[in-house]
Amino acid sequence: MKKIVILLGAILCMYSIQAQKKVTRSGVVTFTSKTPIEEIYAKNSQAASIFLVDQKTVAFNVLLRSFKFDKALMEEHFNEKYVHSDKFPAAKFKGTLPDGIDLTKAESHKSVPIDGTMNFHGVNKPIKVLADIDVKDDGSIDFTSDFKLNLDDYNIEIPGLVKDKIASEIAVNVATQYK
Amino acid sequence: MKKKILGFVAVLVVLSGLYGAYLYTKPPRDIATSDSEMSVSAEDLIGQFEADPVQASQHHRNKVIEISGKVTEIEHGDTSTILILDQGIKCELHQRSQTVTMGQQINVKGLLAGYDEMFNEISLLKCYILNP
Repeated sequence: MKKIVILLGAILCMYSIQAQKKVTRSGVVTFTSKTPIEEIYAKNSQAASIFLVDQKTVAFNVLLRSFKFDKALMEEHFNEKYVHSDKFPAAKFKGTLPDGIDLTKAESHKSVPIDGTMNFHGVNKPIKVLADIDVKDDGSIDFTSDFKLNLDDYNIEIPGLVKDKIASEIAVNVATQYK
Repeated sequence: MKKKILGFVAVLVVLSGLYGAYLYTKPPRDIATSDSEMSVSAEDLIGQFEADPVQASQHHRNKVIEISGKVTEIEHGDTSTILILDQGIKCELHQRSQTVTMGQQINVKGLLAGYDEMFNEISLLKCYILNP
């Protein structure tokens, strides 16, 4: 009898730990570079992410080669000249939500500050982003965030010839749904 | 003679301009009409990445690859459907699809993007299902 109780307890524990780890592989990350001369837009629809609800941490892994562009040349230059995706295949972000936030009940949280680290183009940099976090009745979570990345911060060099075609600050949008 | 050279140079300039414009506006590779550069079973490809992830990545990335495998997971995003083959290959379909079922044996063709270290999955994009 005792054994059964322990076993049941163990299974329950495992279940609750599992239930608090939310994952997705279909996160959408887009970025836009806008200058008066040219607008460049790319979209990645397969961003991987893990949201640990109890620990209040969120992590993303975004393969740079999975970004889709309108033009072949943009895709080629992005991968080979700017972010060097063969050497640095992924952009990674890991961040922590504020302690006070309650993610256990259905509620919509606006502009939640997330303190984290961005790993991009071989550079590790602390970054603060704001995210809207929408906890649904069924426990699923919608997560969206807009932030800017400064190319200089990540040692991404834009040659003088195309300087007026590529913005020095890139607008990034992240939208994921954790089930 | 001088006229001829000038004419020749003018033609060259126009041609290179056209070629530049062609390169500049060229759309990305269309996987549907590209020939597969390799055909492999999901199991085999996963084995290659397990044995040497760096080398396998270098060797296969940016190639159009045809893979046969079993659907072990399906995830529908807002704009895409992602299939997991043999628990180790992530295929992002070129558009959402509701027709695939769990456990189905399928052939897909897609562009290999790399290796996702978060879930330890080989990543493909712009995938087309060859046997619906």
